[in-house]
Amino acid sequence: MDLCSAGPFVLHRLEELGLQDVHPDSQQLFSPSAFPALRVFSFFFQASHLYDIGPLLLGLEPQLDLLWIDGSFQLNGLGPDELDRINRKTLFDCPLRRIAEILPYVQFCRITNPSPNTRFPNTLQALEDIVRASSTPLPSVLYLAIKESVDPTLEGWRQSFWNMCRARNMEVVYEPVFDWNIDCGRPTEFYRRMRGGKGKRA
Amino acid sequence: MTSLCPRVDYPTLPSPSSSPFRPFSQLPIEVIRNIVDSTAPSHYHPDTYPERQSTLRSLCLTSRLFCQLAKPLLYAVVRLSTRDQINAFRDTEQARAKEIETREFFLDGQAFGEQLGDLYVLLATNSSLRKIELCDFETEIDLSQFARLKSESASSISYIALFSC
Repeated sequence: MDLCSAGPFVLHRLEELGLQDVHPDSQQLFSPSAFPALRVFSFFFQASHLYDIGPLLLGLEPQLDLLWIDGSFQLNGLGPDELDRINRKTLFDCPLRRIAEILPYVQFCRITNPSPNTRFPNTLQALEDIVRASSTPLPSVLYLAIKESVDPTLEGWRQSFWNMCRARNMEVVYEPVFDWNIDCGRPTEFYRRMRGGKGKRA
Repeated sequence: MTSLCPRVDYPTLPSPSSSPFRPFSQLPIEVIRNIVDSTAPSHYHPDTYPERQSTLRSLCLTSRLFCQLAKPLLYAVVRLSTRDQINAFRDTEQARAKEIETREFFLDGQAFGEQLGDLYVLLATNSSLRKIELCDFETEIDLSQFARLKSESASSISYIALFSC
């Protein structure tokens, strides 16, 4: 799906813009002057490694309460300075298999879409191994899009992972996504924390 | 001659003023409005949308009062996925003389094909539009068209999502 503009425009009250696999023909489309009220921007683009996303995000960053992007692809398109500027308000979505690549760089990340066949302890064990092996700073909050198990037989796994994350100053938030086709699995808790009571959803 | 039917002594119905139960028509309109509002989610969600619309349609057929209250809700959230639905919506829209406004549109690109003029006309006729979700459009979407909608509409849209499924 492609986006264009026949001329300059202003959407005065647009607070939230979400793009998924949508290709803008020019980054000028996302000039802050076109979206003076924009506070939330989400951007998921499978071929984003071919796309210089930095200027787009930096242009909008000062006015945004939160950004939500696909970390595994888009992190590569950001320079250190660019990442530094958006980091404190950006949630990076990333599958478990690629989490080690982004963990040292981001402040908030969410592990997405683990295979339904992946068992809860296996996910935690894999994560624990990654976190243990990491000697670099970790995100301040790690969102897990899986249901926190209340099975008492798995308590040991859960507690062990939680203790290790706490020792590394990383908060763990479990927030299962029941259907990834709805709002791309909108991260409700991250929205709540970053926006507070601002901007009820349209 | 005795009656074949046994005599039944029905209890005397209390007068409406003393009964704890009153027909809907005697309830304050705001109470009825709250009841109707609570029957359907106020926002679009793919899981709840079919049942939402079905419930509101049923309410519209219940009585004039219910119809008056449920109809705006029915048209407030609209999903159009086929060309027939677009045509039906447009006819209804003309019939209802724009008395009822749509707040949320979920529009499937396959229903529009390459006729994006229909899309912009559809959006332009609704001045209460808050949320637009466009899915799988094959033709380029011109963002500047959103700003050229009816002035109230262009200034009220607070959420746009564009995505490919």
